Amino acid sequence: MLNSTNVFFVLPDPVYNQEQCQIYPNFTKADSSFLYVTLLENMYEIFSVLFPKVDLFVCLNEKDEEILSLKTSSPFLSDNLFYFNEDTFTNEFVSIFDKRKAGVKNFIFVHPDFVGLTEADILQMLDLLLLEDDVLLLKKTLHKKIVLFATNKFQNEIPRLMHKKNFVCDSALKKLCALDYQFYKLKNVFSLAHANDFKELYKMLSRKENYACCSKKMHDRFTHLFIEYKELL
Amino acid sequence: MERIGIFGGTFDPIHIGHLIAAQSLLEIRKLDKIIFIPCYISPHKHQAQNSNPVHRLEILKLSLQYQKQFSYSEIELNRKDISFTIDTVRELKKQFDYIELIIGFDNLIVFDSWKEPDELFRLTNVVVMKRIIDKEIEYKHKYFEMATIIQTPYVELSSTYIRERVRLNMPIDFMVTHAAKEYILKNNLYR
Repeated sequence: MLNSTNVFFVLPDPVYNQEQCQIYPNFTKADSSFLYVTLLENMYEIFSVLFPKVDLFVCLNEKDEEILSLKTSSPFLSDNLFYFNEDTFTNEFVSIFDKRKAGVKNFIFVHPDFVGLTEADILQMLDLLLLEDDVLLLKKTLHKKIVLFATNKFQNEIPRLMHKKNFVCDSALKKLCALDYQFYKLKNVFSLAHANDFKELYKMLSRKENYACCSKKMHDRFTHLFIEYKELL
Repeated sequence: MERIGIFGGTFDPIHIGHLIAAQSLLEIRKLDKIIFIPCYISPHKHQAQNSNPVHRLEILKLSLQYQKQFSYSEIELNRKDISFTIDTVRELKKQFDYIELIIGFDNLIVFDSWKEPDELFRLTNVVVMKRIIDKEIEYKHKYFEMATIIQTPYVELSSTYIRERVRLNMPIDFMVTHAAKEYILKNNLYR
Protein backbone atom coordinates (compact mmCIF):
# COMPACT_ATOMS: atom_id res chain seq x y z
CA MET A 1 0.00 0.00 0.00
CA LEU A 2 1.15 3.52 -0.79
CA ASN A 3 1.40 6.03 2.01
CA SER A 4 -0.23 8.78 0.05
CA THR A 5 -3.85 9.71 0.65
CA ASN A 6 -6.12 10.25 -2.33
CA VAL A 7 -8.25 13.35 -1.96
CA PHE A 8 -11.30 13.72 -4.20
CA PHE A 9 -12.91 17.13 -4.58
CA VAL A 10 -16.43 16.46 -5.77
CA LEU A 11 -18.62 19.22 -7.20
CA PRO A 12 -21.89 17.91 -8.59
CA ASP A 13 -23.00 21.39 -9.70
CA PRO A 14 -21.14 23.53 -12.25
CA VAL A 15 -19.03 26.29 -10.72
CA TYR A 16 -16.86 27.66 -13.54
CA ASN A 17 -19.78 27.96 -15.92
CA GLN A 18 -21.45 31.21 -14.91
CA GLU A 19 -24.62 30.48 -16.85
CA GLN A 20 -25.13 27.12 -15.20
CA CYS A 21 -23.79 27.60 -11.71
CA GLN A 22 -26.06 27.93 -8.70
CA ILE A 23 -26.87 31.50 -7.78
CA TYR A 24 -25.80 32.56 -4.33
CA PRO A 25 -28.57 34.71 -2.74
CA ASN A 26 -28.37 38.35 -3.90
CA PHE A 27 -25.30 37.69 -6.08
CA THR A 28 -25.01 38.01 -9.83
CA LYS A 29 -24.31 34.84 -11.85
CA ALA A 30 -20.71 35.92 -12.40
CA ASP A 31 -20.08 36.62 -8.75
CA SER A 32 -21.78 33.41 -7.65
CA SER A 33 -19.40 31.53 -9.91
CA PHE A 34 -16.47 33.56 -8.58
CA LEU A 35 -17.49 32.71 -5.01
CA TYR A 36 -17.84 28.96 -5.57
CA VAL A 37 -14.64 28.79 -7.63
CA THR A 38 -12.78 30.63 -4.89
CA LEU A 39 -14.08 28.19 -2.27
CA LEU A 40 -12.91 25.25 -4.41
CA GLU A 41 -9.53 26.71 -5.31
CA ASN A 42 -8.92 27.79 -1.72
CA MET A 43 -9.55 24.26 -0.47
CA TYR A 44 -7.40 22.81 -3.25
CA GLU A 45 -4.58 25.19 -2.35
CA ILE A 46 -4.69 24.22 1.34
CA PHE A 47 -4.48 20.51 0.49
CA SER A 48 -1.80 21.10 -2.16
CA VAL A 49 0.68 22.26 0.46
CA LEU A 50 0.79 18.71 1.76
CA PHE A 51 1.85 17.09 -1.53
CA PRO A 52 3.20 14.32 -1.77
CA LYS A 53 1.40 13.13 1.32
CA VAL A 54 -1.78 13.73 -0.65
CA ASP A 55 -2.74 13.20 -4.28
CA LEU A 56 -5.50 15.52 -5.39
CA PHE A 57 -8.29 14.69 -7.83
CA VAL A 58 -10.99 17.08 -8.96
CA CYS A 59 -14.37 15.89 -10.22
CA LEU A 60 -16.35 18.63 -11.91
CA ASN A 61 -19.64 18.84 -13.74
CA GLU A 62 -19.16 18.48 -17.51
CA LYS A 63 -20.76 21.90 -18.00
CA ASP A 64 -17.54 23.35 -16.58
CA GLU A 65 -15.27 21.63 -19.09
CA GLU A 66 -15.41 24.11 -21.92
CA ILE A 67 -14.96 27.12 -19.64
CA LEU A 68 -12.04 25.60 -17.81
CA SER A 69 -10.36 24.50 -21.04
CA LEU A 70 -10.32 28.13 -22.20
CA LYS A 71 -8.30 29.21 -19.20
CA THR A 72 -4.64 29.79 -19.99
CA SER A 73 -3.54 28.05 -16.83
CA SER A 74 -5.65 25.50 -15.03
CA PRO A 75 -5.33 25.39 -11.28
CA PHE A 76 -5.56 21.58 -11.44
CA LEU A 77 -3.34 18.84 -12.87
CA SER A 78 -4.94 17.74 -16.12
CA ASP A 79 -4.37 14.03 -15.38
CA ASN A 80 -6.25 14.42 -12.13
CA LEU A 81 -9.19 16.37 -13.46
CA PHE A 82 -12.43 14.60 -14.38
CA TYR A 83 -15.77 15.73 -15.70
CA PHE A 84 -19.04 13.92 -15.30
CA ASN A 85 -22.61 14.13 -16.44
CA GLU A 86 -24.84 15.11 -13.53
CA ASP A 87 -27.56 12.62 -14.44
CA THR A 88 -25.17 9.71 -14.24
CA PHE A 89 -23.01 11.27 -11.58
CA THR A 90 -22.86 8.39 -9.11
CA ASN A 91 -21.99 5.75 -11.70
CA GLU A 92 -19.40 7.97 -13.35
CA PHE A 93 -17.86 8.77 -10.01
CA VAL A 94 -17.61 5.08 -9.16
CA SER A 95 -15.89 4.52 -12.49
CA ILE A 96 -13.43 7.41 -11.94
CA PHE A 97 -12.78 6.22 -8.45
CA ASP A 98 -12.17 2.60 -9.42
CA LYS A 99 -9.38 3.65 -11.79
CA ARG A 100 -7.66 5.65 -9.07
CA LYS A 101 -7.90 3.53 -5.97
CA ALA A 102 -5.34 0.83 -6.77
CA GLY A 103 -2.71 0.54 -4.09
CA VAL A 104 -4.08 3.39 -2.02
CA LYS A 105 -5.52 2.84 1.42
CA ASN A 106 -6.59 6.27 2.59
CA PHE A 107 -9.23 8.45 0.99
CA ILE A 108 -10.67 11.87 1.67
CA PHE A 109 -13.79 13.10 -0.12
CA VAL A 110 -14.49 16.80 -0.05
CA HIS A 111 -17.42 18.88 -1.18
CA PRO A 112 -15.52 22.16 -1.26
CA ASP A 113 -18.21 24.75 -0.62
CA PHE A 114 -16.91 25.70 2.79
CA VAL A 115 -14.10 27.45 4.62
CA GLY A 116 -12.55 26.73 7.98
CA LEU A 117 -10.16 23.93 7.16
CA THR A 118 -6.48 24.52 7.87
CA GLU A 119 -3.28 22.64 7.11
CA ALA A 120 -3.22 21.56 10.78
CA ASP A 121 -6.72 20.10 10.44
CA ILE A 122 -5.61 18.07 7.43
CA LEU A 123 -2.52 16.79 9.24
CA GLN A 124 -4.80 15.75 12.09
CA MET A 125 -6.95 13.82 9.63
CA LEU A 126 -3.91 12.14 8.08
CA ASP A 127 -2.78 11.12 11.59
CA LEU A 128 -6.15 9.55 12.27
CA LEU A 129 -6.09 7.71 8.94
CA LEU A 130 -2.79 6.14 9.99
CA LEU A 131 -4.37 4.46 13.01
CA GLU A 132 -4.52 0.69 12.94
CA ASP A 133 -8.29 0.72 13.43
CA ASP A 134 -10.75 1.11 10.57
CA VAL A 135 -11.48 4.78 10.73
CA LEU A 136 -14.22 7.00 9.37
CA LEU A 137 -13.89 10.77 9.75
CA LEU A 138 -16.70 13.22 9.21
CA LYS A 139 -16.70 16.96 8.97
CA LYS A 140 -19.96 18.85 8.99
CA THR A 141 -20.90 22.46 8.49
CA LEU A 142 -22.61 24.52 11.15
CA HIS A 143 -25.78 23.77 9.14
CA LYS A 144 -25.18 20.04 9.86
CA LYS A 145 -24.37 19.17 6.26
CA ILE A 146 -21.54 16.72 5.66
CA VAL A 147 -18.84 18.33 3.53
CA LEU A 148 -15.96 15.96 4.08
CA PHE A 149 -15.50 12.36 4.93
CA ALA A 150 -12.41 10.23 5.04
CA THR A 151 -11.53 6.61 5.64
CA ASN A 152 -8.60 4.24 5.78
CA LYS A 153 -10.73 1.27 4.85
CA PHE A 154 -12.31 1.37 1.45
CA GLN A 155 -15.64 -0.34 0.96
CA ASN A 156 -17.43 -0.57 -2.34
CA GLU A 157 -20.41 1.29 -0.92
CA ILE A 158 -18.46 4.46 -0.29
CA PRO A 159 -18.31 6.08 -3.74
CA ARG A 160 -21.94 5.08 -4.23
CA LEU A 161 -22.89 7.24 -1.28
CA MET A 162 -22.10 10.37 -3.22
CA HIS A 163 -25.36 12.05 -3.85
CA LYS A 164 -25.86 14.47 -6.68
CA LYS A 165 -27.46 17.18 -4.60
CA ASN A 166 -26.35 16.59 -1.04
CA PHE A 167 -22.83 15.19 -1.42
CA VAL A 168 -23.59 12.72 1.36
CA CYS A 169 -27.19 12.71 2.45
CA ASP A 170 -28.50 11.61 5.84
CA SER A 171 -29.61 8.18 4.68
CA ALA A 172 -26.11 7.68 3.30
CA LEU A 173 -24.70 8.65 6.67
CA LYS A 174 -26.71 5.87 8.29
CA LYS A 175 -25.23 3.44 5.78
CA LEU A 176 -21.73 4.71 6.51
CA CYS A 177 -22.20 4.30 10.24
CA ALA A 178 -23.46 0.78 9.70
CA LEU A 179 -20.13 -0.24 8.20
CA ASP A 180 -18.56 -0.75 11.61
CA TYR A 181 -15.89 1.91 11.56
CA GLN A 182 -14.24 3.72 14.41
CA PHE A 183 -16.03 6.97 13.90
CA TYR A 184 -14.68 10.47 14.55
CA LYS A 185 -16.62 13.68 14.12
CA LEU A 186 -14.18 16.52 13.58
CA LYS A 187 -14.54 20.23 14.23
CA ASN A 188 -17.30 21.89 12.25
CA VAL A 189 -16.59 24.16 9.32
CA PHE A 190 -18.46 27.04 7.78
CA SER A 191 -20.38 26.79 4.52
CA LEU A 192 -22.18 29.33 2.41
CA ALA A 193 -25.71 28.09 2.13
CA HIS A 194 -27.94 30.99 3.13
CA ALA A 195 -27.97 34.73 2.41
CA ASN A 196 -26.80 35.63 5.91
CA ASP A 197 -23.78 33.32 5.66
CA PHE A 198 -21.93 35.86 3.56
CA LYS A 199 -21.89 38.27 6.49
CA GLU A 200 -20.73 35.46 8.76
CA LEU A 201 -17.95 34.63 6.30
CA TYR A 202 -16.79 38.22 6.47
CA LYS A 203 -16.73 38.12 10.28
CA MET A 204 -14.98 34.78 10.29
CA LEU A 205 -12.21 35.74 7.87
CA SER A 206 -11.66 39.00 9.77
CA ARG A 207 -10.64 37.10 12.90
CA LYS A 208 -6.93 36.56 13.39
CA GLU A 209 -7.34 32.94 14.47
CA ASN A 210 -8.81 32.13 11.06
CA TYR A 211 -5.96 33.50 8.98
CA ALA A 212 -4.78 29.94 8.34
CA CYS A 213 -8.07 29.15 6.57
CA CYS A 214 -6.94 30.83 3.36
CA SER A 215 -3.88 32.35 1.74
CA LYS A 216 -3.38 36.06 1.14
CA LYS A 217 -4.28 35.51 -2.52
CA MET A 218 -7.54 33.80 -1.61
CA HIS A 219 -8.28 36.34 1.08
CA ASP A 220 -7.97 39.06 -1.56
CA ARG A 221 -10.49 37.23 -3.73
CA PHE A 222 -12.97 37.03 -0.87
CA THR A 223 -12.28 40.70 -0.11
CA HIS A 224 -13.21 41.59 -3.69
CA LEU A 225 -16.66 40.11 -2.97
CA PHE A 226 -16.92 41.80 0.41
CA ILE A 227 -16.35 45.16 -1.31
CA GLU A 228 -18.71 44.33 -4.14
CA TYR A 229 -21.50 43.33 -1.75
CA LYS A 230 -20.72 45.56 1.22
CA GLU A 231 -24.42 46.30 1.69
CA LEU A 232 -24.89 42.65 2.69
CA LEU A 233 -22.34 42.88 5.50
CA MET B 1 -7.99 11.07 48.84
CA GLU B 2 -9.41 8.31 46.67
CA ARG B 3 -7.85 8.17 43.22
CA ILE B 4 -10.46 7.27 40.61
CA GLY B 5 -9.94 6.43 36.96
CA ILE B 6 -12.85 6.64 34.53
CA PHE B 7 -12.75 4.57 31.38
CA GLY B 8 -15.44 5.16 28.78
CA GLY B 9 -16.20 3.17 25.68
CA THR B 10 -18.73 1.22 23.71
CA PHE B 11 -17.69 -2.06 25.34
CA ASP B 12 -19.61 -4.13 22.83
CA PRO B 13 -18.46 -6.45 24.26
CA ILE B 14 -15.77 -5.60 26.77
CA HIS B 15 -12.83 -7.90 26.08
CA ILE B 16 -9.58 -8.87 27.75
CA GLY B 17 -7.69 -6.12 25.90
CA HIS B 18 -9.77 -3.57 27.83
CA LEU B 19 -9.24 -5.43 31.10
CA ILE B 20 -5.48 -5.82 30.69
CA ALA B 21 -5.10 -2.14 29.80
CA ALA B 22 -7.22 -1.12 32.80
CA GLN B 23 -5.30 -3.37 35.19
CA SER B 24 -2.05 -1.93 33.90
CA LEU B 25 -3.28 1.65 34.42
CA LEU B 26 -4.52 0.80 37.89
CA GLU B 27 -0.98 -0.20 38.83
CA ILE B 28 1.00 2.43 36.93
CA ARG B 29 -1.21 5.32 38.04
CA LYS B 30 -1.69 3.89 41.57
CA LEU B 31 -5.44 4.25 41.27
CA ASP B 32 -7.83 2.98 43.92
CA LYS B 33 -10.55 2.19 41.44
CA ILE B 34 -11.41 2.29 37.75
CA ILE B 35 -15.00 2.97 36.78
CA PHE B 36 -16.02 1.64 33.37
CA ILE B 37 -18.62 3.82 31.71
CA PRO B 38 -20.40 2.26 28.72
CA CYS B 39 -21.59 4.96 26.36
CA TYR B 40 -25.02 5.29 24.88
CA ILE B 41 -24.99 4.35 21.20
CA SER B 42 -27.06 6.33 18.75
CA PRO B 43 -29.70 4.59 16.65
CA HIS B 44 -27.34 5.11 13.68
CA LYS B 45 -24.85 2.84 15.31
CA HIS B 46 -27.45 0.24 16.26
CA GLN B 47 -27.55 -0.63 12.59
CA ALA B 48 -23.95 -1.71 12.93
CA GLN B 49 -25.04 -4.78 14.87
CA ASN B 50 -24.42 -3.21 18.25
CA SER B 51 -26.15 -5.11 20.97
CA ASN B 52 -28.60 -3.28 23.11
CA PRO B 53 -27.43 -1.47 26.25
CA VAL B 54 -28.87 -4.10 28.59
CA HIS B 55 -26.63 -6.79 27.11
CA ARG B 56 -23.56 -4.58 26.97
CA LEU B 57 -24.03 -3.69 30.61
CA GLU B 58 -24.62 -7.28 31.72
CA ILE B 59 -21.47 -8.46 29.95
CA LEU B 60 -19.56 -5.60 31.56
CA LYS B 61 -20.81 -6.52 35.03
CA LEU B 62 -19.93 -10.17 34.53
CA SER B 63 -16.46 -9.29 33.29
CA LEU B 64 -15.64 -6.99 36.19
CA GLN B 65 -17.10 -9.10 38.99
CA TYR B 66 -13.87 -10.60 40.34
CA GLN B 67 -11.69 -7.49 40.34
CA LYS B 68 -12.79 -5.43 43.32
CA GLN B 69 -11.03 -2.31 42.05
CA PHE B 70 -13.09 -2.31 38.88
CA SER B 71 -16.63 -0.98 38.90
CA TYR B 72 -19.07 0.49 36.42
CA SER B 73 -21.46 3.37 36.05
CA GLU B 74 -24.69 3.55 34.06
CA ILE B 75 -24.59 7.33 33.99
CA GLU B 76 -24.32 7.65 30.20
CA LEU B 77 -26.69 4.81 29.41
CA ASN B 78 -29.32 6.36 31.65
CA ARG B 79 -29.21 9.63 29.73
CA LYS B 80 -30.46 7.74 26.66
CA ASP B 81 -28.76 10.21 24.39
CA ILE B 82 -25.23 10.86 23.18
CA SER B 83 -23.24 12.15 26.14
CA PHE B 84 -20.43 14.62 26.23
CA THR B 85 -17.57 13.53 28.46
CA ILE B 86 -17.58 16.89 30.20
CA ASP B 87 -21.15 16.29 31.41
CA THR B 88 -20.19 12.87 32.77
CA VAL B 89 -17.10 14.27 34.48
CA ARG B 90 -19.08 17.10 36.09
CA GLU B 91 -21.56 14.56 37.45
CA LEU B 92 -18.83 12.30 38.84
CA LYS B 93 -16.97 15.22 40.38
CA LYS B 94 -19.87 15.54 42.81
CA GLN B 95 -18.79 12.17 44.23
CA PHE B 96 -15.04 12.08 43.68
CA ASP B 97 -12.39 14.73 44.23
CA TYR B 98 -9.63 13.19 42.14
CA ILE B 99 -10.43 11.75 38.73
CA GLU B 100 -8.16 10.49 35.99
CA LEU B 101 -9.89 10.50 32.62
CA ILE B 102 -8.58 7.52 30.66
CA ILE B 103 -8.65 7.85 26.88
CA GLY B 104 -7.04 6.14 23.90
CA PHE B 105 -4.33 7.77 21.82
CA ASP B 106 -6.80 8.19 18.95
CA ASN B 107 -8.99 10.33 21.16
CA LEU B 108 -6.05 12.49 22.12
CA ILE B 109 -5.53 13.27 18.42
CA VAL B 110 -9.04 14.72 18.22
CA PHE B 111 -9.22 16.04 21.77
CA ASP B 112 -9.34 19.63 20.53
CA SER B 113 -12.70 18.75 18.90
CA TRP B 114 -14.19 17.58 22.18
CA LYS B 115 -16.62 19.74 24.10
CA GLU B 116 -14.80 21.98 26.60
CA PRO B 117 -11.38 20.33 26.45
CA ASP B 118 -9.77 22.93 28.75
CA GLU B 119 -12.42 22.31 31.35
CA LEU B 120 -11.79 18.56 31.12
CA PHE B 121 -8.14 19.22 31.92
CA ARG B 122 -9.12 21.48 34.81
CA LEU B 123 -11.40 18.88 36.36
CA THR B 124 -9.37 15.74 35.67
CA ASN B 125 -5.92 14.45 34.92
CA VAL B 126 -6.19 13.15 31.37
CA VAL B 127 -4.32 9.86 31.00
CA VAL B 128 -3.71 8.56 27.49
CA MET B 129 -3.14 4.90 26.71
CA LYS B 130 -0.55 4.73 23.96
CA ARG B 131 -0.16 1.35 22.35
CA ILE B 132 3.09 0.19 20.84
CA ILE B 133 1.42 0.21 17.42
CA ASP B 134 0.36 3.85 17.71
CA LYS B 135 2.56 5.78 15.30
CA GLU B 136 4.12 9.14 16.00
CA ILE B 137 1.93 11.84 14.65
CA GLU B 138 2.55 15.04 12.74
CA TYR B 139 0.16 17.53 14.22
CA LYS B 140 0.18 18.03 17.97
CA HIS B 141 -2.23 20.47 19.54
CA LYS B 142 -1.57 21.89 23.01
CA TYR B 143 -3.27 18.99 24.82
CA PHE B 144 -0.45 16.61 23.89
CA GLU B 145 1.76 18.55 26.31
CA MET B 146 -0.88 18.60 29.02
CA ALA B 147 -1.84 14.91 28.95
CA THR B 148 -0.12 12.08 30.80
CA ILE B 149 0.78 9.54 28.15
CA ILE B 150 1.26 5.97 29.35
CA GLN B 151 2.51 3.04 27.31
CA THR B 152 -0.01 0.26 27.94
CA PRO B 153 0.16 -3.40 26.92
CA TYR B 154 -1.33 -4.02 23.52
CA VAL B 155 -3.55 -6.98 22.79
CA GLU B 156 -4.47 -7.23 19.14
CA LEU B 157 -8.17 -7.66 19.67
CA SER B 158 -11.27 -5.64 18.97
CA SER B 159 -14.93 -5.90 19.82
CA THR B 160 -15.71 -5.91 16.10
CA TYR B 161 -13.47 -8.95 15.64
CA ILE B 162 -15.15 -10.77 18.53
CA ARG B 163 -18.63 -10.07 17.18
CA GLU B 164 -17.54 -11.30 13.77
CA ARG B 165 -16.15 -14.51 15.24
CA VAL B 166 -19.42 -15.15 17.05
CA ARG B 167 -21.34 -14.51 13.86
CA LEU B 168 -19.17 -17.09 12.09
CA ASN B 169 -19.62 -19.62 14.93
CA MET B 170 -15.95 -19.41 15.84
CA PRO B 171 -14.76 -19.71 19.46
CA ILE B 172 -14.09 -16.57 21.52
CA ASP B 173 -12.44 -18.31 24.48
CA PHE B 174 -9.67 -16.23 26.09
CA MET B 175 -10.87 -13.12 24.22
CA VAL B 176 -13.58 -12.31 26.71
CA THR B 177 -14.02 -13.63 30.26
CA HIS B 178 -15.63 -17.02 30.61
CA ALA B 179 -18.79 -15.52 32.12
CA ALA B 180 -19.03 -13.02 29.26
CA LYS B 181 -18.66 -15.78 26.70
CA GLU B 182 -21.40 -17.81 28.34
CA TYR B 183 -23.71 -14.81 28.40
CA ILE B 184 -23.08 -13.98 24.73
CA LEU B 185 -23.80 -17.51 23.62
CA LYS B 186 -26.81 -17.99 25.90
CA ASN B 187 -28.42 -14.82 24.59
CA ASN B 188 -27.53 -15.53 21.00
CA LEU B 189 -25.87 -12.14 20.52
CA TYR B 190 -24.14 -10.82 17.38
CA ARG B 191 -25.73 -13.39 15.10
